[in-house]
Amino acid sequence: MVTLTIDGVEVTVERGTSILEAAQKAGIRIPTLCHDKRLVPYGACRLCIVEVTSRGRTRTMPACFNPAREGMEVATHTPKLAESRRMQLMLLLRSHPLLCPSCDAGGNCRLQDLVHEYEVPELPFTRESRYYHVDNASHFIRFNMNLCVKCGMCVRICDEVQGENELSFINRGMECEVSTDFGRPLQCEFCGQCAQICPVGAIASKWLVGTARAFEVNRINTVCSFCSLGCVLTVGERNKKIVSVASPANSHNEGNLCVKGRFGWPYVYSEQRLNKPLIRKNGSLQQVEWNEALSFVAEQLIAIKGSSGPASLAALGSERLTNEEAYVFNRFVRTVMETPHLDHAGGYGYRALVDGLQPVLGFPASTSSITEIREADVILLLAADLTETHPVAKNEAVMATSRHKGELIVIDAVKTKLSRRRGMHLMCKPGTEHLVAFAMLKEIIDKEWFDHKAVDLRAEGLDELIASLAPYDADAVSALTGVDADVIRQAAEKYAQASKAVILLNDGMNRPVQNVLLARAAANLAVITGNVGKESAGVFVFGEKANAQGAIDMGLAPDLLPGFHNLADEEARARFEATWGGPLPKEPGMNAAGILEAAEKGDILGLYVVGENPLETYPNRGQVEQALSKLQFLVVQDLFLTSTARLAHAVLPVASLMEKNGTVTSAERMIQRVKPVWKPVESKSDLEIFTALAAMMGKPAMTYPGPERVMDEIATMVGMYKGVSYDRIGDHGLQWPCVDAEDPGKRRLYEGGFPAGKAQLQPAPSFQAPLDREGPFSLIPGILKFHSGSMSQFSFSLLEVVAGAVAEMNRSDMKAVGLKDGDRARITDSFGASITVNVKSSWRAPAGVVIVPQHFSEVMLNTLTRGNDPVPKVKIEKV
Amino acid sequence: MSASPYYRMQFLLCAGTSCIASGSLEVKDALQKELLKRNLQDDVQIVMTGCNGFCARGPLVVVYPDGVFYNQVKPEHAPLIVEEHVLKGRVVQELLFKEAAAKDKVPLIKDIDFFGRQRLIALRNRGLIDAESVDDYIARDGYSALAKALESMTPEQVIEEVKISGLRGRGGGGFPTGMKWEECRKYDNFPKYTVCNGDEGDPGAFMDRSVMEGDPHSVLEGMAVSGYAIGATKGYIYVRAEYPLAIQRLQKAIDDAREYGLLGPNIFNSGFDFDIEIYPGAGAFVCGESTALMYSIEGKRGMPRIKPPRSAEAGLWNQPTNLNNVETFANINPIILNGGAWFASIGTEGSKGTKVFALTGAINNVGLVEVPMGTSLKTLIFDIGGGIPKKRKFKAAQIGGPSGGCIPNGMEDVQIDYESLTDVGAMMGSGGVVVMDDMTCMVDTARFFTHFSVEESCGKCVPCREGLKVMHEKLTDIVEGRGQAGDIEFLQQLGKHIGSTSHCGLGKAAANPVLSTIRYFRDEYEAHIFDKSCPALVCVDLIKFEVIEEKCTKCGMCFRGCPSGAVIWEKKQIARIDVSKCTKCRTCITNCKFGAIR
Repeated sequence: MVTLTIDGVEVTVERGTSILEAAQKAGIRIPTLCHDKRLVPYGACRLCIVEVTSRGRTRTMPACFNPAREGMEVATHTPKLAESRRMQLMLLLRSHPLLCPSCDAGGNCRLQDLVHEYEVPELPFTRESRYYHVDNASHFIRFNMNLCVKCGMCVRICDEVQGENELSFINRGMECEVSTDFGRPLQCEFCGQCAQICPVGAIASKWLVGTARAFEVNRINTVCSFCSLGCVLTVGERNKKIVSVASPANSHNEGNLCVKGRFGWPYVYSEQRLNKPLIRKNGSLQQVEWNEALSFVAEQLIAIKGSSGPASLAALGSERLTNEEAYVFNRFVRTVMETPHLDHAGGYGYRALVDGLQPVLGFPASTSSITEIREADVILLLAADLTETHPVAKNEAVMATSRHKGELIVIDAVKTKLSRRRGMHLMCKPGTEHLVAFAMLKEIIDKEWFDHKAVDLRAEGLDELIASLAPYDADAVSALTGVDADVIRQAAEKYAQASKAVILLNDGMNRPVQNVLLARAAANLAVITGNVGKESAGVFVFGEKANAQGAIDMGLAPDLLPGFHNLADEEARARFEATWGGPLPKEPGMNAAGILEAAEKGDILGLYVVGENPLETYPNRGQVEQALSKLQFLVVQDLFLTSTARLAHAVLPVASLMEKNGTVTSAERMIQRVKPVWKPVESKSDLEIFTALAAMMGKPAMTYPGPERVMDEIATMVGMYKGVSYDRIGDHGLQWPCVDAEDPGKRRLYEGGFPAGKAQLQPAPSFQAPLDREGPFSLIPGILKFHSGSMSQFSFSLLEVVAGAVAEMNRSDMKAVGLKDGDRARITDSFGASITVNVKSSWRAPAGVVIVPQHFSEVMLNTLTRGNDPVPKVKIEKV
Repeated sequence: MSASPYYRMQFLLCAGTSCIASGSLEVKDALQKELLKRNLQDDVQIVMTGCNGFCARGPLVVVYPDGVFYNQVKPEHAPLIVEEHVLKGRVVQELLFKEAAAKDKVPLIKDIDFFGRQRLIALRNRGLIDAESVDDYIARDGYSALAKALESMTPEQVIEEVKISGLRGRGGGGFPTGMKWEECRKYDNFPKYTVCNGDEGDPGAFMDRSVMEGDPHSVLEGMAVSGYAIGATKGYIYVRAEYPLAIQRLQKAIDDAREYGLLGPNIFNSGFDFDIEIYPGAGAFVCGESTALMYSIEGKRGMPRIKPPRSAEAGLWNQPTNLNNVETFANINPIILNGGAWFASIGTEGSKGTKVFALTGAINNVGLVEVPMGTSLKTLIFDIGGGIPKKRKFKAAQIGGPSGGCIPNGMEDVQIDYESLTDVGAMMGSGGVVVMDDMTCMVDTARFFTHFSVEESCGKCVPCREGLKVMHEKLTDIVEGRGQAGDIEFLQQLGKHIGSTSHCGLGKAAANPVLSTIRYFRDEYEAHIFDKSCPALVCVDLIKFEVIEEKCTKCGMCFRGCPSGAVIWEKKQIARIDVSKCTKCRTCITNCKFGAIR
């Protein structure tokens, strides 16, 4: 630590802290134009120059990159410095157009603010006009280089944070300009980070042009609905219309957003939004008023309950429900519908991941905070292509590998953008990732790359684990996975020897069995090597939808009550029975797959689907379709008339996450507030619908005046949420466990130990080759960073970048099949089911693999996927 | 100087870029042909040497063993030289050099002031060896310093010797070389690199080019010694691509040295591995800045980066890196062989050894010279440089290129060393000396150098990118007659601002030409601004182009030179200038010996 004095204020900071950061800590603002805490200091604007007296010598130096040293005396605002800053600003205005009245950045421009603050006078020299053309050729982004002040923040964030390197400086001196190579339109992630970080209006969102002045916009902080990272959005609203989306710099995501978060919101205004309830009359869906629709639904549910018993009803919730809605839905299903059959699509993906972690570690959630990843020395990515699935978490891997000089171990069947970065890529056969992970575990144990004593102190089950790993010899695994045995050994050594290592996993549809094993291997690896409960270590699981974690926390599962209580837990059941006012089933109900199977057999007659589209997102489309069409009554609650909704007897339109109040819980256990940006007149929130239906179905006690009261009840019922209230969540969120009103929440789990005292190492499964059906190609359902499916398909913006599904294949494979880029191909699985899709050659696909994006309705990819077969084998032919 | 017992005579032909440009290769062919014709090819050897330094007088032929110096030799002189000198043993009078101020011709190279007053350390082999022969270099004690270091000295001892020598960086900064090496040695982070900065870009500077072209092995040896001292195994030479001959000769030198085991693995069986690679730069002045240079080698945009960390800690590819200038490396061999104390005995208190300068501009002996530190500017310009041509008056010397400052007439007694030059507002820089006579306008000169810096600014930081442009525009206003009261003060304020807030050395020093010309020639600025006149008659917008009748001698020189027929003159008549036809080319002004045009 070093102590220095800044403008008379003594401040103590860590060695290596810049003078600027030290000043910020002391509450002193030093003006900057090229500094952002996310970026490596650059020193271009020279506005942060301060006077430093050290060892009797006074010098001027930029504060942004010069480190604070012991005994320094810093003056930040002397008349001389003000004069210097004024001159700097005058020089910037030499070529910066003074069209502030018509500039879209007006009122939101750091240059304008500083010019005002420093009272810059008339310039004592001639100004120069620049005539770069305004470049509108790229999606979403407008370049007006006439306004550029060359702070380089766009170039640097694109490189240092996004890892894209799309923008760079060209030319020299006065001609210096930011450009892509040869000025072509952007071909990047379209994250828009360059536009948000631009301190002036040189790079801006095209949509903002001419829409609103900065000071006319209402700004509402809410949470992004596109994935589970919980990025904070600052939504700009004017006249009940969203005009901009940005992210606050002080958010846990540090202001970073991806393309979906920043530009995906137009789905909210899609013409295809449902605005009236529909019920099936004479075979077709017809618009009705809310009262009629709700009574119809209530009557139908009561009728089936009466005729065939409550167990003939079932419900499927969603990871898109807020915590409050999920909680109330749970109560609704179990005490109003009185059925034990409750699940959600996460049961196919995220649930499997947390089911792998929980037995070992204790909690079904990520162990640490996302921003810790950047400081890790080794990052093990287990079948996690974060660039496509969780782009903002990918940034952490980028920062870890560049600034921190960490390394990646990518275990994946396809090439990814991250597999090109520093580190190693273990390219395995599709569906064998977990075998590689267990082989690494065995290697670490065999080579004693872990501390026996430490593991014995913190964990149990080592002997059983060792015994179970016996067959996972690197050579044997190599034969099955196609990864060189020595490479597996090297990866094991790298992970084990790293002083800080994290493991990242993400949710993938249709590999539930494999996901449990992957997460189990990950948890074991982390425990064995001591990479749990300390800084920049741990295991992260990233769900697909906004409230993937919350859906688990709120017990949207056949076997769970809110707070991870098993239904078999007498005490918990009694508590919930008392609060919810009704008996709860003792035995778990059927999961999603079971419900559909039962529906097909006629055992389930009524199904309540909330925020899900099973026909498209659940594996085995043929079976799902049959099951749904056999139902006596199907009610679907959604924003759009999805393909499932088309089969329904009643469709209830709901508010989107942009339109309702509540909380969601992110992949780092962060409970965050969702706030309505506007309120559509015709849609109701899911919560309103549940309580209305409860009243109509004879349970008027189930009323909640609003989501805040629901959270109050959750706090009394769920231990991890005990200290949570809307007031405490505020704008910054709270990470559970938060056990009382004083608890600031936990950035990291297991720092003081494990809930069960020790971690419970779980044995490896019996060693067996993955299911290998006939077929020349392995089909991998792909995810694109531009789409998430259910909502993105209704965003014209995201469709503008990627309009439809294109399967990716290796160039040589395409040649062998006789396909050219843009051709249409038929993909047929071993059961004879087939889809047709356009194909293109791609660097991502190794030979023998076809990657088909899963998020496009028209492809009907789930025709080919089966819940128990992680990697369908297919044949491909030209249509 | 290939020591061949079989020749009785040697012709050393300069094959530096300048002499090649003026035809030394043709002279070589002609001499060869002539010798062959007379069957003397086994008696006389022709050696193509690196730059001799006396570029103004090229092509040059020095005939040994006598040391007779022939200048401005043309191919047609070949028969004469062979006939007279080789066969008859008589000196060819008409090709001898004549000092500007003297009457007599000087036959022997050692008697010529240009050579006699120099002290050659970095340029010790200049004009003496075949630049492309490793054997020549070895014959002149080449690589014996490396051998000595590897066989009998520890790296620490090498560093100590360099520290004792007091050698300071010859690229301009003047940082003590020994300390730089010591700092780099400190870090235990391998691999380390040693980099040679050959990105010489100042207008009017060609010291490094001459060393790289004329004595490439001395650079390689210096780099290898530094590699040994700091613990580096790899060296890079960053040369601008505009120096193709330097690149070609360096590459040949590297290949030869590798073949001889002087580079590569296990040099002299010492266990020390060292190899060198050339990286041709694309010609940005800013890439002479060390961090920008390293970025450039890494393939990034050549832009200075922030420090800390210093390059010694995290330079090229974030590894510890030592970077020295070409001339600095060329000094290493003599320092190791003769000892640091010997080197320290030359020069002044704070600046040891010698310094190479490139003399250009209004000076008779344009060329490359090496003098001990502390030599006066007067000696450099008038004794070695032969003074100002056409009997004009010395006005100022710009030392240090676009980053340096000018030293005016009356201050030519200033000693040339790091401190003295800084005190008078100039800087050592890499050693370019541009001499200006009284036909030079200092405002225009300042504008020229500022324009250079505007063009070469990388564009990163505000004061350099925008400030220099403002400065250049102000100067343009002044020389074009739009100057206003307050401009000088504004230029001074802006100049200081640029100097104190720019990031790298380029920006920090870029205002020096303006600040130093204002310091010494404020009256000229004032004349431009207030009288709208250019005293040196350079700034065409401020010249009236009229004949001063009292001064006109009616000689008609103005009439004869005028390309546009604007001068009206008849014999014994005072000339007049028809301004409507005048293109302001200034030919009349340069032709008039009487200053009769204003």
